[in-house]
Amino acid sequence: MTDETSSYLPAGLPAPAANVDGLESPFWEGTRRHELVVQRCNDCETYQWGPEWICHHCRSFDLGWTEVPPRGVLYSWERVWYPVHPALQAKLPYMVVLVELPDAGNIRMVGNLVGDAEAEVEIGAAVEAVFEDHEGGGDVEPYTLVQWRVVEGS
Amino acid sequence: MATDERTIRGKVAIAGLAETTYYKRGQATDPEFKMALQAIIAAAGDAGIDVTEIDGFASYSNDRNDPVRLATALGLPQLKLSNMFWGGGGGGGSGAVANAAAAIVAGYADTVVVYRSLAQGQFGRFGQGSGANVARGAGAFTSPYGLMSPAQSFAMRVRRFMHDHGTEQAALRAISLASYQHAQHNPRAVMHGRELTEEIYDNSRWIVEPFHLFDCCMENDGAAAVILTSAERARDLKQTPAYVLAAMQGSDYRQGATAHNAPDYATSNFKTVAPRLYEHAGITPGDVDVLQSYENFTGGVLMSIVEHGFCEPDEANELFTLEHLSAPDGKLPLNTSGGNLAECYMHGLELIIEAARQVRGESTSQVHDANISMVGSGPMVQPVSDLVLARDLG
Amino acid sequence: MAEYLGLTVDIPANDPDHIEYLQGAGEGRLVLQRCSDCNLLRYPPGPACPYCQSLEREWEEVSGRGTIYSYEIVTQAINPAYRELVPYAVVLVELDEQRGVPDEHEALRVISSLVDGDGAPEAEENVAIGARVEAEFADLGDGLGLPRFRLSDETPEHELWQFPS
Repeated sequence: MTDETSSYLPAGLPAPAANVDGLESPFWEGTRRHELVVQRCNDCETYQWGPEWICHHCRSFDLGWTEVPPRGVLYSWERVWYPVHPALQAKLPYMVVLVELPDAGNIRMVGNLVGDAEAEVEIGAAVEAVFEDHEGGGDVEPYTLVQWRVVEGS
Repeated sequence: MATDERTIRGKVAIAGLAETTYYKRGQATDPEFKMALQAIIAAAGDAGIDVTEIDGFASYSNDRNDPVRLATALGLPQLKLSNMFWGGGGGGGSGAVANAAAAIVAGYADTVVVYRSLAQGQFGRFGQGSGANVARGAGAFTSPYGLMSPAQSFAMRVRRFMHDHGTEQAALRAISLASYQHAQHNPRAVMHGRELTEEIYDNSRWIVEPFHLFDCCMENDGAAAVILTSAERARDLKQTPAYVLAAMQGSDYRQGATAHNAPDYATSNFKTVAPRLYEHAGITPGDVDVLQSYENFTGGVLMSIVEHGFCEPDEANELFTLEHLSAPDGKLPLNTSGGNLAECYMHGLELIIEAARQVRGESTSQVHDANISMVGSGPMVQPVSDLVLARDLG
Repeated sequence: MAEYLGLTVDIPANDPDHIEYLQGAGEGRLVLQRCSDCNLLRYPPGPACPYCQSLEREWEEVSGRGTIYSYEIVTQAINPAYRELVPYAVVLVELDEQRGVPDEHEALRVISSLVDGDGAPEAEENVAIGARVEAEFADLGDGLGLPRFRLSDETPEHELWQFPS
C-alpha cells in the first residue's frame, strides 16, 4: 500500500460523493483515512458490494462496515481510447480495471491501474491499492480515490 | 391455472409496422414527438386499420413521448393501455411487445402500438459522459475513474468473457461485418452505401478495448412503430400476420449489483430468460430460421447468442464468421436489416420490425422460407427481453 | 432571446408549432392551425390534427374575440417573477370561431391572461364567466409576442357569473 498525491486521470472528472441518504459514506470516509472499508452483514457476515440498505444473503438490515486488506486480483480490464469527457482528452489511453478482493468474499472494486497505460496486463495478476488524494475545491469536498497497482514479481 | 393455459402463444400478432426516415444523430428535421406520430400513423396504414382503432401504447427505455400525449394528439376515442417497460438501453424492446401482447390476451386493450422515437440532437446523447462535477451514490464508484459511457460499462464484461473462453477479436468482427453487409441491401439503412471490410475494421480506432469503432452501435434520430392485435383480427387485415409465439423478460441473480459486482459477471443476462422463452414458444435454438440480436456492442451479441444456446461458449470462434451470419444461406443469419450497427439505432425496435419483415417475406436480406424469427433485446443491461415470431402456428 | 416578466422564453428551433404561434402574436395576429385535410381549426398548436390525424396544416388568423369560459384568480406567486402581479386572473377564452364543432363538447379554448388597458392584471371584480374579451399582444422581443386578452364592450350572450366573494 502506497500513498500518492498525484492523480492518474486529469482534474475535471466528477468527484465521488455518497448518496444524499448517506448509504456509501463509511466507504468514502474510510478512503480519506487510506483504509479500504466495505460493507459486511453483522448477522451472517456476508460481504456486500456496492452498498445497499439490506443484506442480499440473509435480508438483515443490520449491516456493518469493516476494513479489509487493500489487495486483490485483477479480474477484468479495459483500455479506453475515446474521451467521453473533456477532461480525458489529456490522458489517452487510460486503463480501467476490475479488482476482485479474495480477503472480502471476492467482492470487486473498480479503479484505474496506475503505471503505463499501454503495458500488457494479465487477468489474475496480484494488485495492491493506491490511495489517491484529491484536494477538491469550489463546492467539492476533499476526497480520496482507491487506485490499483500491479504487485511487482507477482 | 395450468402453465399451458398461461401463455400468449399464437394468440397475438404483429399486424402493422413502419418507420420514419432514419437519420444520423442530430439530423432529424422534425421534432421527436412528431416523428413518433408519423411512425404510428404509418404503421396503422401498413396494417390497414384506422388510426383511431389504436387503444393502447407500450414502450420502453423511458421514451419521452408518453401515451396520453399521443392519444390526445391523435384524437383517439379512448385509451385502454398506457405501459412502460422499466429499465434502460434496449433491454425492453421485446419486453414492450410482451406487455402489449399480454394486455391483448387479458382483454385490457385490442390494438396496441409499440413505439420508440429518438432525436438525440434535441435531447441528450447516450454516448457521452455527464458534465456534472460530482457523482453521487453508485456513480461515485465508476465516473471518477473515467468509466462513464455505455461502451466503457460493458467492455470489461466482454473482456472477461473473452478471457474465460478464448474468444478472438475476429468473432466480434464477424458480427459487425454481417450487419454492414446486410445494410448494403437495405436502402433505409443509415450505412447503406458504406461497405465494411476486415481491413477497415482492423484499422479502425479503438473506442475502448476490446471495442473498435465498428463494434459500437450508432446513435441516430428517427421513430418506429409496430401494431399488435389479436391473431384472429390480424388474419382479416392487410398483411401476413407475424404471430407471437413467445415473449419473455427478466434478469438473472443480482445482475443489478452496482460497481460491477454482479456475481455472474461475464454474461449478457439471458441465462434465465432464454430457457423460459423456448419453453413458452415450444421451440429449440435449432428451429430458429433468422435472428435479430440487439447490438449495443458486438461482444454483447456474442454472449447473448451463446446464452440462447446457439453454440457453447468455447465454440464461438467457429460459429462467428461472416459466412455463418449472412443471409440468406448462413447457418444463423443475423441482424438482417443492418440493425443498430448499420441500419439505425432505433433502440432495437428496428430489429423487431425486421423480424416481422422476415416472417412476411419482405426483408431486403430475406432468408428463404423464414418461419421462426427471433429477437433478443438488450444484452448486458437489466432487465433484458426476447421475442419469437412465426409465420405458421403449426 | 425573447423574455416575459424577466423570464427567458426559449423554444427549440425544431418546434415550429409553438414558434409560429408566437411569431403570429409578434405581428399582432392571433393565429391557429387549420388542418389541410379535414379543414378544422385546433388549439393548442401541435403536429397532428386531433380530429383526423393529418400532419398537414396551415396557419390562419382568427378574430381574437371570444367569451370567458372559465377563470381562476391566482393569489400565491409560485414563481418570484409573478410576485408583483398577484392577484391576477388566468382565463380560458372560448373563441367565436368553431364553437360546438365537431361535437357539442368541442371549441377553441385558449389559456391566457386577462389584462387591463395598461397590460396590468384586470381587477378581480371585473373577471367573470361569460364576459366578452378580445385579444391583445405583449411584445416578447425577438419577433415573438404573447397573446393576452382584455375585456371588450360587447354585450354578453348570457348573464355573467362570478365566484361568490
